[in-house]
Amino acid sequence: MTEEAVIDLCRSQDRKGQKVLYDTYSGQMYSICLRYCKDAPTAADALQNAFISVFKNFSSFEGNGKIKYWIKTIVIRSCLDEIRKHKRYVFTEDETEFEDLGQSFEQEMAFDQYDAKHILNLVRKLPEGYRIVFSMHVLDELSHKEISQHLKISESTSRTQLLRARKMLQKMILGDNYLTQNYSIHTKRHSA
Amino acid sequence: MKKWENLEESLRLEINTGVTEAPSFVWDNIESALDQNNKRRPLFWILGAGLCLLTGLFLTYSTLSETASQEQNDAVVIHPDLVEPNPSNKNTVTALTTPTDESNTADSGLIRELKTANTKTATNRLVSEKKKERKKKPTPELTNQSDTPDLELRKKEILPKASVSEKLSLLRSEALEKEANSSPVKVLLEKERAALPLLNIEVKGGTEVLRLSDKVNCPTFSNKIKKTPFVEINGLLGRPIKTLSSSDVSSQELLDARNDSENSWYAWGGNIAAGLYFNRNLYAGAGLEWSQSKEKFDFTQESLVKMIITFDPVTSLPIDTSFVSGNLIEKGEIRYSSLDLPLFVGYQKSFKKWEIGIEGALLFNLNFKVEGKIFNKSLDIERVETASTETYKNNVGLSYRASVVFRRFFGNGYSFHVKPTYRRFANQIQQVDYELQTKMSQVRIDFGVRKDF
Repeated sequence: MTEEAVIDLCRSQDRKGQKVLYDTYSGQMYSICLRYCKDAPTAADALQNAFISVFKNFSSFEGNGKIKYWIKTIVIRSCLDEIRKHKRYVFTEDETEFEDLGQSFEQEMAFDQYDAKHILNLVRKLPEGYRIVFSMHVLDELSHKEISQHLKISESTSRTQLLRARKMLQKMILGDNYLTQNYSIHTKRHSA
Repeated sequence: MKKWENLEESLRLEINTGVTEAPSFVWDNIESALDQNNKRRPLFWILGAGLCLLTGLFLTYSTLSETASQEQNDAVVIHPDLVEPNPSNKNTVTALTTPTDESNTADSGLIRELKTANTKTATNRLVSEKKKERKKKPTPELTNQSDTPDLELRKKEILPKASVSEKLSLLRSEALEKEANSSPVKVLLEKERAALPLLNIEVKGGTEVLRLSDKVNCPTFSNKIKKTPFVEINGLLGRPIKTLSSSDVSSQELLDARNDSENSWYAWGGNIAAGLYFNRNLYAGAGLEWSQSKEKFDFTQESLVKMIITFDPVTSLPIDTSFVSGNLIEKGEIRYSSLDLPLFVGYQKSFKKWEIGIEGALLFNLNFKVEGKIFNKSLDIERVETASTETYKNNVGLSYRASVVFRRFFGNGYSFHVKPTYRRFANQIQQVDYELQTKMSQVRIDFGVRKDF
């Protein structure tokens, strides 16, 4: 069955079409949910609510873009709602720390020794605020403007959280004694 | 060596290729949530329609009360030129007559008016009344009064010279004299009026003494508006919309076969109804409706080969074998007949000779019957009405319809109307244990005649 046919069936609230769409994208979307949510039950709830929302509001899908990205947006929103239900994530803006992080740094590391899956596991261990912004910006490629709209924070807060997340992730990699052989970090302080 | 950005890029690649299987209960939960949502929808519409009905009735009741209250307020305004002041109290009305025929004054809400107000206000009202009357096309009765000098002009002539009481007195006596000659309702002279019996009439919480001729009909200030009955008869023509679905993968073959072979054709039928107008705009009623949705059954199986073996009748041995190739074509129609009891409510507005409005109805199914060829569960073609297992319900319960109404009047209370209508069966029409779910609706045009009494 082609994607167009599935979309048409979903538009007419056809259960068979909905099942096909769910089977096609549930795996990818569940991975996203697991990245945003701390535990599997919360991720499953987020996935469930997202797909219910997708099917109920399928008429609003205009068909201009790919359906995958439309579903992905709804899934991310659902994850954020689910996290909010349990605990409101907090983004702090510590100016002192921000200055420290305001360094331009360049990292070089040996890529033949790390495993992306392992680093993704480390991403899950990041504090909630860091993890969310890191996932949205780095993994789901949302701009800071989009992140600020989703999370109702300022763009500068989003940038700060990302810098902190990156730095913490680097520390975790080092602390994990991972990539120790060839990992080096060079920081240059701003001349200003 | 690899930069941090490259690491992030590789993470993106990893997550795009990585798939984690979602727990199986998630789909079950989604499915049950969607089913619940579908079940709630008819209830939502019914509640919505009920709420609209109640709101409509409340608004109508409010409008009626307001109109009646306004009429009563209007009724305390008086034509000063028709009033004879009581010698003991110049502000109190003691006698009056009507200046025009009853029907005319009844329409204006000023049939017989009483007031215990000062004459200045009354004069102003008189002037505005006269202006309104001039704008109106004169009725035959009023034409007779055209000989009466225009009070407004007279007023202009007199005003510069006389005092207010003199002006009013002059105007009053002139009007009385003229109307005594020209009005279809006789205006009594002072002596004649004095000879009439006294009547005590309650006016605005107080009692006023009036002298009225028994030939003059007193107006009623009742706030009851007469409810007008109507009957109508309609024909309908449109297109049925049927959707088949299945949540069971094993029914996929049957679903495909039925979807391919059953094609929407047309819907037709008629209804009769009777109802009441609660006012000029709001009406409600009930009736009886029969409609039939038709589908074409069309199934073609191509490139079939039939083998014919001919046997010798004596030896019973085969003597010839031949092959015939061709297509198997099965054609027919499927008819979904429904007999319902509609309860409807409508709201319309006048635009010259046209009335445009909306109408909503709840239809209670009395009987539902399906006839024609379909594929059965074994994927054989059979007739629904003779099949061993029932496919469709005999009563589908509630359905609802919404229409836009365009009505044109032709006189004598007759009007012709056209109603673009959408009707939907609230429930699925198949038997509960049938493996496919079937929903049905109609898009149609109702047309007919209404007679208002």
